Amino acid sequence: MTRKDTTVAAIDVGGTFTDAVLLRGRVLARCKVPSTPDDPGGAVAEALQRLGGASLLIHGTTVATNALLEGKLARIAFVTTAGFRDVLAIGRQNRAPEDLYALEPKQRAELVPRELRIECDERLEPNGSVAVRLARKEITRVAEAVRVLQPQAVAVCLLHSYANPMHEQALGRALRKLKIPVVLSSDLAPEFREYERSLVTTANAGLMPKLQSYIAKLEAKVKPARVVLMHSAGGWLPAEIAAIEPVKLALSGPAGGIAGVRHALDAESIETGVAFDIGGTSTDVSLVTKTPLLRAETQIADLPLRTPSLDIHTIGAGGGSIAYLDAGGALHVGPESAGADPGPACYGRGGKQPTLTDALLVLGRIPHDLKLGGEMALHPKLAPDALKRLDKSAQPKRLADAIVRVALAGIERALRRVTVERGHSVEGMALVPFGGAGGMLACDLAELLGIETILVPHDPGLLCALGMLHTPASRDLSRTVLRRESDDAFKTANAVAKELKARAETELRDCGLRGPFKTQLTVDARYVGQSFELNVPLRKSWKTEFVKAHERQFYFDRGDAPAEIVNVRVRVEAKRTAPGLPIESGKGRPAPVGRSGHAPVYEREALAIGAKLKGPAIVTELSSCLYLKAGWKLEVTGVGQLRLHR
Amino acid sequence: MNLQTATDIAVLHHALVGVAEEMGEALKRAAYSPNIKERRDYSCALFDKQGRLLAQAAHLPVHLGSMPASVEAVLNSPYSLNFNQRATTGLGKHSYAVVNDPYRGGTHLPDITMVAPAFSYGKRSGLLGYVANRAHHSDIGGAAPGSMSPQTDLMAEGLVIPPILIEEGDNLISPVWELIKANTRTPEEREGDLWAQIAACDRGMYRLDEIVERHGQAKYERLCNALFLHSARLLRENLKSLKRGLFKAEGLMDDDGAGTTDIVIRLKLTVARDKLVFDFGASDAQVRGGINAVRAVTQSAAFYSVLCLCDPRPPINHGCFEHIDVITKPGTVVDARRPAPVAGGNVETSQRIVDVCLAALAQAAPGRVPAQSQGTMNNLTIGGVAPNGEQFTYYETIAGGCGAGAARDGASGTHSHMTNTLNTPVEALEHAYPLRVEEYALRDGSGGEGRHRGGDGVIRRIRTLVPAQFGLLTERREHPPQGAGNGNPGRQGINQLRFVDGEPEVLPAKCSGHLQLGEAIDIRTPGGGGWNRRSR
Repeated sequence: MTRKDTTVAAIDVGGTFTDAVLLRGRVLARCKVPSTPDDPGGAVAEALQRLGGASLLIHGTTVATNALLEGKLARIAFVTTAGFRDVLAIGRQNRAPEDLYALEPKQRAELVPRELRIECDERLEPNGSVAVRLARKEITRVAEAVRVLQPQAVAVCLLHSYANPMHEQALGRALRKLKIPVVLSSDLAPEFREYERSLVTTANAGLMPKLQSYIAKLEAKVKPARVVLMHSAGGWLPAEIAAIEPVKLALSGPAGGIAGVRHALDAESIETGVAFDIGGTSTDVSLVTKTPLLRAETQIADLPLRTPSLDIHTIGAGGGSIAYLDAGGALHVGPESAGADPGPACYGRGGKQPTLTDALLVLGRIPHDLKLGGEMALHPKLAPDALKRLDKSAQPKRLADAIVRVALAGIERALRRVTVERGHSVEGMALVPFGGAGGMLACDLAELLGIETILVPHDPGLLCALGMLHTPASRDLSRTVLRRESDDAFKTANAVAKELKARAETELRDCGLRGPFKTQLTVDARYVGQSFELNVPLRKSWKTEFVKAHERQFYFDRGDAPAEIVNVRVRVEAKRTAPGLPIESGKGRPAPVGRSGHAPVYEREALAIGAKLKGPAIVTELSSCLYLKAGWKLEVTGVGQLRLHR
Repeated sequence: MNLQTATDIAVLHHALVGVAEEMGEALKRAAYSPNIKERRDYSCALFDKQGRLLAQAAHLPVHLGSMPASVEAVLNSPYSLNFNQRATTGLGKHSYAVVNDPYRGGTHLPDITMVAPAFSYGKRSGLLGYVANRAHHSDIGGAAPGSMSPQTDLMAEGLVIPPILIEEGDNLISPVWELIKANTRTPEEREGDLWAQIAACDRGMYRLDEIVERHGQAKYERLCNALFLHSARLLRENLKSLKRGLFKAEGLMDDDGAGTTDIVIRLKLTVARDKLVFDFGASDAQVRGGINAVRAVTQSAAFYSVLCLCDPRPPINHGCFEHIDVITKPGTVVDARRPAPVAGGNVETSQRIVDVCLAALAQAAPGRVPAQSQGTMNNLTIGGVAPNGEQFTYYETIAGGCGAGAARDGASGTHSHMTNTLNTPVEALEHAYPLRVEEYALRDGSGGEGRHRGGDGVIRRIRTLVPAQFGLLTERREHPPQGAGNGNPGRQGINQLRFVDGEPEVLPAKCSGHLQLGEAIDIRTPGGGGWNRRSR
């Protein structure tokens, strides 16, 4: 970030609302505007205008995510080694888990139809040496074949190109003359496993036309603000890089939320938290540790996208999830959802089915006069009617209670599974609810999981946008080396790391960022014969680090058994400009502004530092609503966050 | 059902399946071998005090419903001690039994099932139930690496482990571990994987105790029964959509690899108001080659077929099975007796039993059952000595075409029915073994024509850079997957040996042999059947 960037805005686009915050000196401004799904940039520009404009705009976008989810990618040509044209169609040859008992399992998304797959006569060995030379005539033939097809972008992924990019680069030079975007797998994701590399390369090519035009239009709308974009690994990328690597924006918005949760935990000196964001159709959960947990790939619409991403797990249950009784009489909540439109019955937009949000309203956890996003009024009378559809004879309160219990059971199950999978135990961590509805179920969920502390950050409904304010620019690069320790693995890895580091720094400098940069060098290592890797720091002692990590993660190690370095990973980060956010708080003793059911309702902005509340109580603010259950106590911390304990 | 119970059983179901899932995650994390970690060839389940299945995580269908037999065998085995008796004296805590004997609770030898009793950790010392998991170990000894090549004798397939304790009261029973390790080509891997299975059991016991604690034992047991009743009720609801009557179907196995061909699986399915009876009694006698299925595999295939037809699908527990009877005749290919070899029963014959069950169910549910899928797992093993002097064994199953149905074309290049394991990436394979993949593509035109087309099979051609041995255990090389209605059948699979030059030689469906330097195995997997032809 350069010195001129004194006013920083962060804007996150969600399904219903576009959230915006702006920091000018020590003053924080915020606003929420309805999203404009047909042209998401419209709401972004409007929000920025309402806030008064900025010199730097950090943007979390769902344009890439939605295009992937809806399968709306550009017309792409795919060039690969002869014999492997169907690599995307075959995938890893398994059917989706939900299709395990399906009579007619669905075909996996192929991204590129058969007629646009072009085989190229060439072949590399696993060590990168040339087995079949790529002839000049062949390059001309491939380029001509692509030209005739008139695709909007080209993806090139040749076998073993991570070990030697020469053939891909030769094709790239010829294809670029066609004046369409060309993506080489050896540039974007030079890691082994041909399906995953082909997929991420193709998805990137398929997103390029759409993202390039989106970013260009947005830049024009928000001038003179400089636009940068949040990427999945929890940093931002200059628009120039984001436009050519749009697949890295797949978790753009959620990454901001994790940054916000980390910041909230740091302010209270809490090491580890469980981030918990209930949306309309789904719930995101994530473990937030001191150093961010990154996965080498993320799953979008069943596509395993090989791009470094924060470890965020999505569960198919949210505020709009519909409750129903099955033919055997058991109660279910979701996975069907009323979504944002028509939404829950109490939105008054024609939704008739009972949802989790309707249940929360009936239980009084949502005050009847709450306005969503400060604007949209609720229709409390519609909720009990919707619930009664489940059972005419039952009291709405009992039905609502049942719906909440079943929804929580599903969320608890998923959360426990995720934490075991990552080798953690939730006991002793803090639960950090955010998003509009996280706070309404936080106490129950904490009780079920044995969690003692809940931390509610500032503006939980704007946390994704707030988190982006704390995020530095970062560039994550990687390459497969596949070298055994006996074969000078460290030396090779070190040389590759240097090369990647230099490339990352040059790219950031080219975008106007100044050093010094913070660098993190790691390797993915494994015992020879294993098929999964552990990430450890790149040091001479990497093997020892690896053995220790193996013991820690899997409860055993194999000591001296030969190990190998699979991938080298480099993260280059610009200096963090983490702004100290202003502490805002009210004065005097807390006084309720109303009642909802048996609980007094407080406004959060009126609560003073050090103020204490006992459950049951409800705390409302512009962007969200917190339900403090009986048996829980709340205290406003020194930095103005809400800390709940039992 | 009242609202309270409707809610309670939904909550308990989430909790119990959650425990099974957590066991699976613990197993996957701690396991050593790629077969468990990456191909995910395992399943986890919970049982009540009577050994009735409470919940199972959705891992592999082939393990569905065949684990209760393992639990029963362990409970009845003198060598695993009787948990029930020990429960009363409190001696049985932290006891772990293993079994792979196909004729005493197992299915085929590489699948080792572990069963452990779960006790309360708190003041109460009562037995809560049992936890179990099954994992496919990549080598359990026998004549060939990988323990999955065609043999004519159970003894040649590998080490047979009767239900036997390997740990009791936190004490390892070392002689048993040493015996298992001494009988596998990869002892350290076996040890690591067995530890992982113990870790999974531990996770299950601990969490089950928490859940019982949360509900209180009496209420917990009442709710378990309510869960069974709920599943049974949902299954009965589903039966209403089936036509009642007697439906016959049969299916052919190509051969057993030891001289017997066209082995027939015959089914008489009776659909009554609240009962499905699968009678396989008239099936052919067991054979010399290793394609015999034990009864538990046949049951799994029948249960799987019924669940596929269920919408909504009942939660998988003992209650689902109450209305499904499976009748088999001992000594047949679907209920083999010792000492018949069984390696292929689990992976090949199970697929055919599904085909036969679905063919019968299609008559009871017209228009709902798709055409036949590839009906094989195309098991391939290549082993030898790499240039660096290390031994290598490569084992893989290869996808094929799925049958087309009323809704859509069949999926191409996808594993069907009883399996769902992942492939080995070409780049990983070439890095690890002295092998080169020359082609890995869809096999155009192999899916049957119809209003909806069957999915295409796959071509996988692998050339060896050193002299090597290979083993093939495949099906549908003779009798193709059938279309639905007047849809065309899918193409049969083809196995070929490609010499350095000259014409390729067609290989039998099940065989083993040698590869010279530079020779290649070329496998073309079957396509799925088509769904009804267009009317002219």
